[in-house]
Amino acid sequence: MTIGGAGERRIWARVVPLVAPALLVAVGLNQLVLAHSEDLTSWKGGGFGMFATVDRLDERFITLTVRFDSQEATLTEGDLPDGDPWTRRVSRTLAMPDGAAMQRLGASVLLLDWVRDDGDVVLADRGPDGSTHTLTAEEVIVDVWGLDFDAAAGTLARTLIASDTVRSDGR
Amino acid sequence: MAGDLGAVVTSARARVSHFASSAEQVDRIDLVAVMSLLVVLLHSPDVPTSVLRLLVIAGLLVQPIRRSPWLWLAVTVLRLVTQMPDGWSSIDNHQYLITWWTLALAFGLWTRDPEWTLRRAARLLIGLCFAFAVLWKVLSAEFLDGTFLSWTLVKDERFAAFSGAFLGLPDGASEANREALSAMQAGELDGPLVVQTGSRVLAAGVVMAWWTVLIELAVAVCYLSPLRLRPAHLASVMLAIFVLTVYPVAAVVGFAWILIAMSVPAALRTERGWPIAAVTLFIVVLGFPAAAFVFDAVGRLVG
Repeated sequence: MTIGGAGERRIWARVVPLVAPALLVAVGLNQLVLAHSEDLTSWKGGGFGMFATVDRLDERFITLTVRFDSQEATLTEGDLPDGDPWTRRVSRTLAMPDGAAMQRLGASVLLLDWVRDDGDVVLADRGPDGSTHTLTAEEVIVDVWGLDFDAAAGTLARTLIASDTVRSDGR
Repeated sequence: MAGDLGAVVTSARARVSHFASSAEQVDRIDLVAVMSLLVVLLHSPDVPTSVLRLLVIAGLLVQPIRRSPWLWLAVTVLRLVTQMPDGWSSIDNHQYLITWWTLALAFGLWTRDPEWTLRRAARLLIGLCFAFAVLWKVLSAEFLDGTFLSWTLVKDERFAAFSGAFLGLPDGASEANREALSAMQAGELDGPLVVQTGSRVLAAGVVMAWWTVLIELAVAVCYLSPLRLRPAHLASVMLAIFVLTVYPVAAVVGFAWILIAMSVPAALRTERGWPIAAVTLFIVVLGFPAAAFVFDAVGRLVG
């Protein structure tokens, strides 16, 4: 099967080579817009902005401040449970920390079980054996950080890219 | 003596002419199909399905299969299906380019003149990819002032040997910087930290940044030029210069391979030896990751 009978050939011949390049342009422009409006990393998403900014996906990181009645606990990516759904949620939030991604990650964190351990609040699977009284988190602050490198001074600092608060009562 | 020299020149001319005519006889469609299948097989993200692998291997072994648009349509769909669960926002840019190219192959092989169709599609894809890359770099102040490349030179392990050999980065500094970054990401460090760097890192970052912008701009202009203009006929040479100057330092083999594969149908008839040069480049790129050992050895000699 081939495209292009005598009459159609001129149209197809002009259009067919443009399909893939048109998709490249559409996705590339979308990536440019989202990078500037929703903090999508320049390194991903089809806009060919890799090797242009310090803000690569591997160098972004997340801190999660979980608040309880009178205490709080801070988590980083490494503290979260292993497994595919968590990896995807974290990866999506790091790549483009828009409201939807941060709310989804925060809501998942609020569902984790917590226990007291020697005065601190820790994840239940890291608490003392036999802990049965689990705590309920009230809210979680999701912070996504990037890097600020000063080449002349040779210093590196973290810089806040996006932040959102997710409450257990849904407010 | 003059007669001997004349014979040597005549013989050399004959060899070049023979090489060029052999290159012209290369089936470009078949060559780009094989190269593209190798890219899909070896440089897809780490979720290729067994169906995709089987299709690719069948295509590599059987010529009619690799020339079928259905194969390329199936490869495109399978790549999209396997990559989407990870989220489009987390996919590397060259994975997008590979998918656009497999789609172009599917459509191109459906037409009556696949060579003409694929030439147009490949030239546009390469040119636009480089145009976007230049746009991003020009919009990024931290690229043009050398900040980004300075950070990369002192932190990225792919650049460690180069920075150690030529830019005065002390032994172990790159690893120490990565450890400091990991500590910051793990919440162990809040405040600014001092990065270990080399005396020539910032200057090198600026020079490399401007070279990258210039060569990428040249590639974009050459591939997007109307074919009647001179720059269009220099496209393959510009791409070769880009590959040979950028990828030994930043060895992203998958990206280099897809660009080289697309350059085969993109080449004009005036670029007679390009298919064979492209195959050579395709193989040479495989050795670029080993350039780290060369940089390291040079560094030790210089040091």
